[in-house]
Amino acid sequence: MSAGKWKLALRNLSRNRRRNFATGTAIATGFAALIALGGFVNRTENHLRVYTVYLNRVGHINIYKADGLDKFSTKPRLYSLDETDVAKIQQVISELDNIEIHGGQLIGAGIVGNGCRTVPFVAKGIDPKVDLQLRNHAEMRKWVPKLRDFSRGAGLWNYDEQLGGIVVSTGLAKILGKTVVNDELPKDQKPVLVVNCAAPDAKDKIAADTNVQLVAGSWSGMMAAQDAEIVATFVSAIPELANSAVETSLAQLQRLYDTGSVTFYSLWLKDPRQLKQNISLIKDRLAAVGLKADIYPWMDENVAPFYSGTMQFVYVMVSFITFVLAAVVVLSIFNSATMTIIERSQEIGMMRSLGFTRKQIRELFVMEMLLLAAFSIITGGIVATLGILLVNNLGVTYNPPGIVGGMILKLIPNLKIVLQSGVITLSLAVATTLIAVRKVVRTNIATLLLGSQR
Amino acid sequence: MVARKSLFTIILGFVAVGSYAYGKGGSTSGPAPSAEELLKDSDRARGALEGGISWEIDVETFEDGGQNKVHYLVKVKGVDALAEAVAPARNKGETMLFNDRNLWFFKPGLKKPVAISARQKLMGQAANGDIASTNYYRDYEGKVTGEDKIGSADCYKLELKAKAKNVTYDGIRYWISKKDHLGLKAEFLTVSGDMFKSAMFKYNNNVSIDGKPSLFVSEMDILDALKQGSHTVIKYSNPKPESHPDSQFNINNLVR
Repeated sequence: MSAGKWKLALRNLSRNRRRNFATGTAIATGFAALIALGGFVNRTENHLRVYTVYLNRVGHINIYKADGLDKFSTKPRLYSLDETDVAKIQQVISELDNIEIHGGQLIGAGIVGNGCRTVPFVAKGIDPKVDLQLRNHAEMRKWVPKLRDFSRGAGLWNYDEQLGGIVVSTGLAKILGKTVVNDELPKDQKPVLVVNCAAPDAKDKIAADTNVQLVAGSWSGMMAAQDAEIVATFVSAIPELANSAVETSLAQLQRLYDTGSVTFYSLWLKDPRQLKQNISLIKDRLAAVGLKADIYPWMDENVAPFYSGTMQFVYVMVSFITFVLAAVVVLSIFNSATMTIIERSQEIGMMRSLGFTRKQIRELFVMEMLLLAAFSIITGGIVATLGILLVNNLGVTYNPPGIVGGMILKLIPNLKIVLQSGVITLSLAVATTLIAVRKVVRTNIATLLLGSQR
Repeated sequence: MVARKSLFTIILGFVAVGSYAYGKGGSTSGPAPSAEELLKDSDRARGALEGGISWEIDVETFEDGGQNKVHYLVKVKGVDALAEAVAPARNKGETMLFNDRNLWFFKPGLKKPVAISARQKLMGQAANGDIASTNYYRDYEGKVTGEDKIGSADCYKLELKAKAKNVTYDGIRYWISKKDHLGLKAEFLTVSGDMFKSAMFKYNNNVSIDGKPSLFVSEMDILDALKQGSHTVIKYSNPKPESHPDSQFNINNLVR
């Protein structure tokens, strides 16, 4: 395509500015909307991914005893990973380069009491050092900076194991009547025994310390109880556990249930893009060392039903909006191009009679559309940037299903999204122009010159 | 005329006797007891006595191929009961205190006692409410629904419905022997009426109540309806009337 043709195309564009402005506006708006949508999906996907993988501690790879995911809750002793199993897993992963963080996790339920009443809890036990690494992970800082913080207090890694520190959900702390955490008490504060739970001052006495009792049926079939001190409160990542979530050290939870086993073993990868290869490798090597295990990637709906369900919903919703957007852009371009072509049918006939081929005519119209689309995309990009800056600074919080505390509405597109949006917009514009021009270029020259095409 | 009068008297006599027998459910051994009477009697053989009594129990749990056993000393006075673990050493001192329908758990080293629900299952298949005395008469509304046989024993079959929310079970199907008014079998039901566990009882102990020797429960074998092979056996021994001071059943004294 020569420079002369581009000049001709540019000159033609300037002949009907109002119509081209309207077409360009449709393209620019479509492009900006695609970037914004892409930014929304990118932000939501990354927020939920980091929320799931690091905050909710569903590792990139989760290793369960064979059938353990389904049967652990009813037969924990049979369907958990014991010390020997864990040693085998650690041996296997020690030979892999892509493992960044790893650790066993134990899940259990029971009741927690404040000396006057008890309520159910669901606890997750993890090595506090692993917890520290996860909370300080770069991904957490980038995508969920606020959620990584505790509502009150400090993480378990700051306390001696002897203290029996636990972190409870804000809802559970409220139900238990605990308004302070361990660090907020005087150092010599002793547990306050409430002699009469019906007394008017009972509530104040309960709130005066952080001491609670965890009670559960141990794996050996007996009743077990432990003292614990609330060192922090947090907003539970799982809405169903907002009033019952407890996080504690793996060792403490193992003592409560009288076991050395873990429910599952999680691995966090340096490069999650190698997830499939790593799973395949680990599966083979675990089989080689004689461990029958089930391995689940983090996005599996069995281990992360919330992520899986929410993202499916987001994808369906965004696909529908994209389809509507594309239809609007395509119809706008088609309408504008058709009118332009009909108006210019005598001109096309003239060009054909001067020796322009059908292909050259098509090229001319495509070049005009490419110039218009390019200009519109640049404008759309500027509009999108300004719009996104505005939205991101408004700090609007919305509540997608399943996310405790809601999400701040932010649109975070990346280069890939911008390029994809540009390619889609350009492709739609060119394809629509070709369809509009196709019939006219096939019409014979005499008909075009007579203007009977109109 | 005299002969006619005699015949009438005889017929009337037969009708009267027949009506009486029909009114007793076809039995000629006496009037059928009410559900309340049956529950009162059966509770007595399971520790619900006005005066003080004590006994020992072994709670043996079989679950997931594992086995565990704890020996308790149980003291009962009216609606209060205290069950203290005495063996093995790791469980020694663990105490469950029942103040009426309120249940407390405490063990040495705990800074505070734990208030727990009687229906919480924290020990094998036995709910904590199974450990101490049984007070079905107080806790459940009973209704005799039929007759049945447990082994060779003729029984009344009762349907019990919880009178309050803080009792151990929502509902119970209970078989009480006709002969001794002893609870021989129980099926424990969820709120929707499904059975989730059952229990069989044996009465090989004797205890003197008001100077009269009475049979006393010796074994309760609890089967989990959902987990095959899992069961808990509570063995009762050495029941004896004994007076206990009220202070023994005070949670604050227990903690101190």
